[in-house]
Parts: sequence; C-alpha cells; structure tokens
Amino acid sequence: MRILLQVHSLDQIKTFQDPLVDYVLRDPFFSYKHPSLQTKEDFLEILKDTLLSHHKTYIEINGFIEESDLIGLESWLKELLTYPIQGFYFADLAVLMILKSLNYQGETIYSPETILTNTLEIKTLLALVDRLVISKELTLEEIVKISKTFPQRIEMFGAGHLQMSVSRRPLLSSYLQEIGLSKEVINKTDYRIRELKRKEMMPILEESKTFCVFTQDILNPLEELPVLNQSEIYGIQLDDLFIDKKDAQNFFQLIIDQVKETDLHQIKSFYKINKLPLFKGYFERKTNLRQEAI
Amino acid sequence: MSQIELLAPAGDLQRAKVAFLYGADAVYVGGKRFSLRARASNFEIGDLKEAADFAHSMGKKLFVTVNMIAHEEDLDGLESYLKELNEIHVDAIIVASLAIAQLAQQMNLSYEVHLSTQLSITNSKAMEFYKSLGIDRVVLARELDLQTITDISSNTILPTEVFIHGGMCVNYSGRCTLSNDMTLRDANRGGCAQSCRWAYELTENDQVISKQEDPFTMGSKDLQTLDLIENLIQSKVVSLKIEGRMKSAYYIAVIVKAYRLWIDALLNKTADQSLRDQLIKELNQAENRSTFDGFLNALPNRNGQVYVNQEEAVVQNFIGTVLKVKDDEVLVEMRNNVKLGELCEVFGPSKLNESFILTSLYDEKGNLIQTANKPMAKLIMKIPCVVHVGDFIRRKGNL
Repeated sequence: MRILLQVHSLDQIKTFQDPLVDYVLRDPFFSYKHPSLQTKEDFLEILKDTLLSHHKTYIEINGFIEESDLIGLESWLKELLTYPIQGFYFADLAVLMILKSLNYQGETIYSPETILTNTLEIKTLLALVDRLVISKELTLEEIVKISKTFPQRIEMFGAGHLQMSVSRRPLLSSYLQEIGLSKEVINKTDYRIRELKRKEMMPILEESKTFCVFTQDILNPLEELPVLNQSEIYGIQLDDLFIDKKDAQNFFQLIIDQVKETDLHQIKSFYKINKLPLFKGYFERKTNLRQEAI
Repeated sequence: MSQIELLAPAGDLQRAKVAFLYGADAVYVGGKRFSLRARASNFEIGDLKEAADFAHSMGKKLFVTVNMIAHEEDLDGLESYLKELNEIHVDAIIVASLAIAQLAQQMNLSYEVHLSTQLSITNSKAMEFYKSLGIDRVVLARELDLQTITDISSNTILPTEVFIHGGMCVNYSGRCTLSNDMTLRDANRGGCAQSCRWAYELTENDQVISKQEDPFTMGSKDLQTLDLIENLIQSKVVSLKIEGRMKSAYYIAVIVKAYRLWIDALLNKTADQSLRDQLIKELNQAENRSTFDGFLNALPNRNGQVYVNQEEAVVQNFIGTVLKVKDDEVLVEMRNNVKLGELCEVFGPSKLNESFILTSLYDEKGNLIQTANKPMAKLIMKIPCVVHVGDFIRRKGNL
C-alpha cells in the first residue's frame, strides 16, 4: 500500500523521505485546498524538489474547470508535461480529455471527492482511467469490498480533516460583508464554524474560487490499516491541512510505520500522548438513513 | 427565437398532470427507488405509466430520475427497473451515474439518457467526454453564468438543460456530505437534511466574530430567472428546468403557468412590462421564499444568501382545489382560511384568471357559514364564472 502525501511545503519533503511515500501537489491555478501554494514560483520550486527526491510525484487538479479556463488549463498541462510527473489526479473529466489530446501516457486518477460508491460505477470508470479515489462516505466494509474487487486500482482519503462540502460561492466573505466586518479571509486557515446546537468546531477555508467546510475531527486509519492492506488497496492519501505541523508529522509517521509493520503497542503509546481530535470517519458509520426514517 | 422545452417537477401523478395542464412540455418525476427524491415520490410503476400515457396523449414527455448515488446495497433490481421504464415508454431517464447510463445503453433501451446536475458539468470538454459515452443531454451545473451557458450550448456538443427556478444547493451538487456527517442522512441518496441552511457560530482564532442576532449560515435564496428567459432562449439551451419535486400542486401550477406565459409571449413577441410585472408577482407569491438570479448575471454575494431566519410575511392566497362542479355550485377542498365577502379568483390552466366576490359559502353538509378555517375541509361555494375540476381558488390579495 502506497502513502500518497499531500505536499503543502518543502518541509514535508524533507520530513517524509520513506520510500513508501509518493508526493501529491495540488496545482495553484485550477485547484482548491492549497492555501499555502499560491504562486507558480512556489509550486514549481516544490515540484522540482519532489522530483529531485526521486519519489513519485503526482499533480492534483481538483477544481471544476470553467469554460473560460479551458485554454489556460491546456497550456498549463503542456508545461507540466515537460516535467517527469508520475500522474494526474482530477475531479473534472475535462482534464482527462485535454491530457488525452496531448497524447499523455502517464497515470490518470479520477478523484471526484464523492459519487464513487459502488462496484458497478467503479468498473465503468476504471475502463477509462488507471485508478480511482473512492468516496469518503463509505464504510470500511464497503471500502474493502470495492478494493478487493479491483486490486491495486483504488485509493482513498486516509488521514486528515474530511472535506464535507465545496461551494463556488465566497460564503465567508459574503457573511462578513453582511455583518459589516472587513477582513482578508482568502486562504486563511484560522476560521471555524459551529452549528448552534452542536459542539464541533469545523474548519472552513475560502480560496479564490471555492469555500469548503471540513470535519472538526481528523480521520484516523491506524487500526484499520491491516484490513486495508490486505484488501489490496493501492494507497491512502494523507493531508495535514489545518493540523499542527509537528502533530501531523508524528501522526503520519506512525501511519507509515504501521503500514510497514503493525505494532499495536506503538499505537497505544501514541494514543496516550496524542492530543489530536481523531475519529473513524465513516468506517463504522452508515449514512443511509433517509429523512423519512428519522 | 427557437422553441424551447419547459421542464417541470412532480412528486405524484396529480402534480404531474397539473404540470402538463399548466404548460410544461415535459415533466420529470422519480420512482420510489433509485431516485434522489424517493421521499417525495408516490410513483409506483403503474403511476409512471399513467403519467407517461398522459404526457404522450398531450404530445408531451415524461422523464424519470434515476439519479441516486447508489451504494452496493442499493443496486438490486436496477436492471429490471430500467427495463420496466422502457416498457412503459418514458422518454428519458436522468442519471448521475455513468454506470447506469452505460447499462441503459447496453440494454438497448429506447429512451434517452440525460446526465443530472449532480455531475456538476461546467465546461464543453467534459461534455465531449460524456458525448463519447453516448449521453443524449446534460443538465448543466447551477454555478454557470449566462455567457458560459451560451458558449457551451452554442457548441452543440450535446443538448443542454439549465435550472431556471426553485431551490438551490449552495454547494456543487453531489459533492456535499454535510448532511451525512451531521445527521447520518446521505444527501446523495435522498436524505439531505439541508444542514447548509442551519445557523452557525463563526470564530477566528477561537474568538467568536459572528453576530448572535444574525448568525453565519450557508443557506441560499431560491432561483428566479424570469427576466433572463429571453437570454436563455437565445443561448441555444434546449430545456428550462424548474426545481421542486416536493412542492405542492398549486405551487407547480403557478410557477409553470408563469414561465409558460412568458416563454410564449417572448416567442410570439407579445411580451411587455405589464405581463412581466404580473408574472413576477405570481412567482414571488407562490411560496414565501426569497429569490435571486443565481449565477446567471454574477457570482452570488451576500444578496444570494438567506442570513437571518427571516419570518417572511406568510402569504396564504391559495384557498383550495376544485373537486366537483355542478352548475354554479363548486365543491372545494380547503387549504387556507376564507370568509364571505372576500375577493377571490379562479386560477386555471388555460384561461385568464376570473375574479369574483365570495357571496355564498357552505360546509359539506350544506350549512351556511361565514368563515371556513379547517384545512382539508370540503366547502361548497357559488362561483359566478366558468370553473373546472382541478382549478384552484385563491384570494385575489396582492395579485
């Protein structure tokens, strides 16, 4: 099982040198969830470093591509293809179409955040791309079934705050305008929302073209790793967005160690000192309750 | 200007018939399975057949949503359901799944396959991809402006459909799991709890910065686009879609009729300010929800959001539905209060609304009453104008 690390800074490359780790960089122009990678220069600097490290390097383009951006996207992909990139993640199939038109031969991974929830759908899409990142709202049982059906062709979000929504609207800026507050909010990771009857403080992030809400808690796959490993899943993605860098480093390193060799004692020791708000995501939570069942 | 399809929603057979009668060219409905609005559906296969037959008898079309993002456990019976829909001659299915789209094609079924807005299609390259898979039509993402819709639709890669009225997801459709996380109700399987519309506290570096009396929320105003219909017709879009499979028959009648009248007036070059103003009033009073023009003119800002739990002035113009007509006596199933002496009107599909003053009002047993105030009660009214079964009686009010 590969570890697919979302790279937000040069430090991460220095920290995670394990051969199990591949790097994923979100592009600065057509993606979201990259608050610290804003300029082409920053992005290319990190890209060059990841390539020099001899780890596989992937580019993720996770935004919905607007019609007026198609020409710019094509030209950006052409430039990226001058680098020895291992593959591309994308959420919009326009990226795949353009890559094909450029005669791209590398790996293609479709990652739409949701909507990949059953073997029928996945079989259909795997005829068109190399791998898929399945939906987050799947139970462990569902993940294992899908992964075993398509060995080494499935990836999943493995650790970090789960993204719950993505909007095209600048919802944070709009609200601040509504209440008469003037603040620079774009790419800032300091904001949280709490539903008035609940305790959870959910991170939010407004970027140039999106507004996202994330879970308060951080997905923790530590105890599920042996099952996931056996299911022949290709890899799990780790993303330290909103997490203290040092805490993320310890947590992710433990995940990497556990992928190589399960050591329950090490996990227990980690839990004793851990202060991160960890949870099991949807591993054991079925979300099929419909409104009429409530 | 070219002809354009007006596509309306319906949650049951009665509402489907209302939508057709009030001017929809096509109606979309969901069955009890595989549909995102299964909760709103009363359509057994027999009802779907009756709706399809009704549509075809009027030269119109019936589309069926098969747009659930299915998990493994939901897939049983899918193939036979797709076959059943073919046997009852529905005109199209609306899917959010490429697997279901391909399955329908492999089964050589005769209906069209339309891609749902759940796939958030925002550009022509993605449309080329879907065309290569044999898709017949795409419902564009709600996040597009008029120019983009025009650019994409003019490419004629695939026929396009856009939403023109009704509720809006604030997030990209199909990409939101707020409801899953906060209530265990799967939005992509019809259980959306609309958590985006709830009130939230906003903090910055752990300090509360939201206002208690005006909390943070993500709730969107509804879409209303009457003033942009002319542009949409010119954009080469083939279908204008109204949202609201859970809405009442009266709501559907009002909204469909308003857009029908406006589209026809535009195509016949009889549209004028007076008609426009009248239709805007109709649209605004059909339901007590704030509206705006979505992304069509500009990226929504605070004016596209519903920030405070506004207690809108409740408009209860709708009095009831006509069940039976005998001479000038009309049996009405009541929905909202009515009293003698009120200025009312008959709202029907094919005529101008005729006004009358309510001068006689009886309960079901024939007792003369001054005021009726029990919802769902049967009332007998004497109405001095032409009335048909299925017409709606409403208070003239501000209309």
